[in-house]
Amino acid sequence: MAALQDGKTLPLDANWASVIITTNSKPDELMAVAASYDATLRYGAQTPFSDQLSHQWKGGMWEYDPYHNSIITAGNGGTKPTRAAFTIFYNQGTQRYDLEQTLQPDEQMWMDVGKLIGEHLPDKNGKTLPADLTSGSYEFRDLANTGVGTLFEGKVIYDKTYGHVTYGCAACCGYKLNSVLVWFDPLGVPFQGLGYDGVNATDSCSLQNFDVSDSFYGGWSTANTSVATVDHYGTHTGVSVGSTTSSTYGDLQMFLKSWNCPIQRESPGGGANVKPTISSLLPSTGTVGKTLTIVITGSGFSTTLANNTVQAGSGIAVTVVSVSTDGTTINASFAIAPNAPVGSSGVTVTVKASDGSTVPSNSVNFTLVAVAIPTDWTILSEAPLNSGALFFQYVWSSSTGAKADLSTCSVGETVFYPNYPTTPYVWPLPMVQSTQNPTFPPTGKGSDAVSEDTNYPPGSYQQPYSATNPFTATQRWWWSCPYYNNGSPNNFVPDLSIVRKIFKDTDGFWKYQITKSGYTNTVKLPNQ
Amino acid sequence: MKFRFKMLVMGLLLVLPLGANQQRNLSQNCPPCGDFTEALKDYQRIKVGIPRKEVEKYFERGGGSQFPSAAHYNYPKCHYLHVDVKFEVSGKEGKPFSPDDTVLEVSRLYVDYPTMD
Repeated sequence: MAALQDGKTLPLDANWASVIITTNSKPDELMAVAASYDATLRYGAQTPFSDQLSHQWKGGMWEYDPYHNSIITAGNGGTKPTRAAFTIFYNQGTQRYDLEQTLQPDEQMWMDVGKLIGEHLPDKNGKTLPADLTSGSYEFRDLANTGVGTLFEGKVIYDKTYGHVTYGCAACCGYKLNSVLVWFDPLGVPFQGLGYDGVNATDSCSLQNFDVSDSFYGGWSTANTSVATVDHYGTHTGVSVGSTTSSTYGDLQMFLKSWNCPIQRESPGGGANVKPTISSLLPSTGTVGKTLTIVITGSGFSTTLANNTVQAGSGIAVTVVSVSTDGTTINASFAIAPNAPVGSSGVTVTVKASDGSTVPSNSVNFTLVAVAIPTDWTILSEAPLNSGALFFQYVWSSSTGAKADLSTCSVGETVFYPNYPTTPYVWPLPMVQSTQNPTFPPTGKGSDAVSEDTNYPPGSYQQPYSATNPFTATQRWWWSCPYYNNGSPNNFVPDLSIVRKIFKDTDGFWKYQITKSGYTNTVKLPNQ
Repeated sequence: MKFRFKMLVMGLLLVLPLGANQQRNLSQNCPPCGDFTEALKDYQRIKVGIPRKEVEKYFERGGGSQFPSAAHYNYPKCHYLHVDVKFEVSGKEGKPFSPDDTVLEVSRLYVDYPTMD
């Protein structure tokens, strides 16, 4: 090297270099060693070359005291820049000191442990090493390449007492053999929906699982693309209900033994089942001793009636009555035995696929009760009115399947305004309106077909107009039956928020806006 | 007829402590006291057995929830005047709030803030 350091080939003031030796010899036939001696050839040090690159290295022990110091280095052996993390562990591994550096190809980072300790140099978190620290372990991690890393490493400890220099080897942290697995086996993919899969592998040093999916991008495929397809990133699409397999391939540094982490091609895979999906049951509650028609809504049901089987809880005899031509709705008769256990149980639809496999859907809860109660409160329609009001129609079902059975039940709403229970609530100007707090309109019967609900704007507005903070009225829809829980009210759904405000729009006009259940109505204030 | 008596008393009490905004609103939207006789006359037309369409000639449905079997009405000339009406639904499929629903029960005419929800 000294001969090359003539100011032409290598700079005269260079004090480090990356050296690459290329050979066509067979593995382990040639061993390269770097050696450095003084002019007398009396003092020198040697270190072997290594062709091992890794995404993670763990090494120990470094020393620092008046007679020792350690220099630890890592370099980028790849062809692209990478981000390297260097960590010193001390106090039996309970404390850490972290540095990060971007390394260009063939660039090295040098860590003079004595300098880090002696000069109290802060790490990336502002932490310094204790001044009396004398030993510890260390780690390098390639932050940019977790599958096939590009870092090489080396460490020397020199001993001033006798002039020794010791080369220390860190161990590469490859992934454990047979630990490279897909996230899900089998992967469930909704019909006409997406299923996301990836790859995990176990790090041989920490024995922790890491997501190495990016090393497997571009390798994904399915055995039967008429059942499921998969894209570059492992996102599966359910094409038809059925079963297939899915796999990918990619390269990882695998741990064979210490200092030997070769790159190996891994091909993890597993089953991929495209499943029918239940989105809702109507009604979702049934009364024991009754037979009712349940509308099962979802996707991926077989359009051949006999290929659909519905499973429900104990004491429920199910007959599949019909299926829609697009496979999105099944009408099933649920005959509920008088002694069927009260409570919730799962309902699934199992579809016999064209390949003969049977694929179950997700499970959706169906609740059994002992008496007739209202259930399944839903929005039937919504309309923004010219006045600025929001108008809704709501419907509900009977757990017996017959609304007439709910004739003694009450259905109603209570609306709580800010500052409840202080009443009345005076709306913020420029809205001119006051309301009882809470508002409790007359109740309807459980047997009513529908409920209408109009959420009005204020009666008038006061000029000059100004913006208000939104205020929220909390609307609670409830039902009660004299024979259920001593007639106490039961909420149909979680409370709804009705939010109103005055604001100046981007068109320069002052406007009133009301929002509920994701619906909004906005109207211009008068006289502008 | 008892089910709204309490509200009638409460409603009358509520008229007294109205803030400045509400007093202005009342004066803007409601008739002078003498004109309440017109509201009373219209209220007296609401009798058990008449159809919904007759009720809605003189009163209009208020805000908030309304059910086919029970509706609350505002007096069009003053939304602080109300009457609650229970109906026998006509049972026509797919036609809730039928004009042919008949009145079962009528509350007293009472004063209260409009239901806005």
